[in-house]
Amino acid sequence: MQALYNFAVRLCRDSEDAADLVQETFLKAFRFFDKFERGTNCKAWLFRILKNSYINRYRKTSKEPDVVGYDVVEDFYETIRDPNIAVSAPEEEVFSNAMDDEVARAIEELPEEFRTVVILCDIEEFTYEEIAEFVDCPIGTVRSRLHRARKMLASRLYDYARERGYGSGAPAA
Amino acid sequence: MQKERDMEYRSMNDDMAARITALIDGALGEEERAQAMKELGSSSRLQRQHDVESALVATLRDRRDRLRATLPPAVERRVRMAVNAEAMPRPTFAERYPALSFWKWQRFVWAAAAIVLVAVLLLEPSAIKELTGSGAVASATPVDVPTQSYANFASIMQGSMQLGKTTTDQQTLKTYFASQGVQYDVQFPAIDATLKGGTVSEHGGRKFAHLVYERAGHTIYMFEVDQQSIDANHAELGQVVTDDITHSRWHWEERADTGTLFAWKSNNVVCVAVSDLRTNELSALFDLQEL
Repeated sequence: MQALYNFAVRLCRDSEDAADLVQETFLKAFRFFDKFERGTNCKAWLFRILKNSYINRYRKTSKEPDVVGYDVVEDFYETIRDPNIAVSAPEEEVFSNAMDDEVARAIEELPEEFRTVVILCDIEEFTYEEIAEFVDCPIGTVRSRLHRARKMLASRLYDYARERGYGSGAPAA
Repeated sequence: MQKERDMEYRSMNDDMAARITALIDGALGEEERAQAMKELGSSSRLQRQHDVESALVATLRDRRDRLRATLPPAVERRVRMAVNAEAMPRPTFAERYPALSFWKWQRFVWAAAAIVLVAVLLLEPSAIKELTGSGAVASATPVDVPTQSYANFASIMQGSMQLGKTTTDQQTLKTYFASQGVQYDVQFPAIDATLKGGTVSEHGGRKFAHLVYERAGHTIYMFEVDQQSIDANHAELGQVVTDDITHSRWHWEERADTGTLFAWKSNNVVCVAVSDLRTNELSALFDLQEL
């Protein structure tokens, strides 16, 4: 239930809505228990119920912050290294200096399908196979979404670092 | 034409980049891993991705606990109560259809089952091996735990299987099991029912624990078997139950004539519960975390 609640909070961005969503998930699971396919992953089934309930009920009303668009960060890795920064491992420094609320905010600003895979993989420690079951897509899609999600997340954290005065200007584009 | 070539190039780059992501997560097979390493060695762009993404992943994993939203106990209670409320007021089949109900005739059915059971026991003495705490029967045949659980549940309902120790206290029961020679750590599941007591049976020189719970006039019986006994072929679960436990962590089945059966594994002990509750009602009693 802990993992479901965390996932719900990150989806809804509201703890009250998340609690309602978890309750709705368990009630639906209870009512439609006979629909659970024996031998399949019960946890994945619960996550799917939660995700579908969210889509049907909460997605329309949940507050969407300004999300990062992938096209904006497509060439992020090519442009990331600022020639003015003379640090041996600037990535580690940028990320390790990020504040927790900046990391949480950067995750929340990801578009939903990318946010989902980051939460499930990097926060909840599920395998690619499990995530593919949860979100009902091929493993290749999980990989691709995760790659893009992390790129957007890294880009956002670099933006925050620059706002805090890290580096000496815009990346060399 | 140029646009198509650009798209193809981009798609190929995306594939390689996604492979680096999977490499970082240790999610590649041997062949693809070798391919990713080769691509990584020949592309400074992929090398850059690898460095940045690895640092990001390390940061996220370091902060995992702080980034998780903690489930408030009040929410957990609220969900549990909602599910229980959903479960408990529902009329049983017997209440809804008294004239048609199997349960109306359960005394007759149990009596008939008892006669059949006695006949079986007289004809096949080894079948008694799990029904009493005192009868130590050495046998090379592994005990079929689900089948035996149904039979034991029937015996409890008829009163022919007695509890070796009646207590509501887990620790007292643990001490009892240990004193009777049960060598594994008996599991007490998180269940919204009252512990009534337990007993011990013996099969092939191994001692097994049996627990009985009660909830609102319904009985929940549990047969616990350690994995070591299953591995040593003293007990077996059957292919379906074993597969379900392996792949989805638990197994359930509901039979109109014998009851509802749940099986799951907890700390290397396989627990098999049988009850006269319906599947939904029984599942509602267990801690939702078990799911």
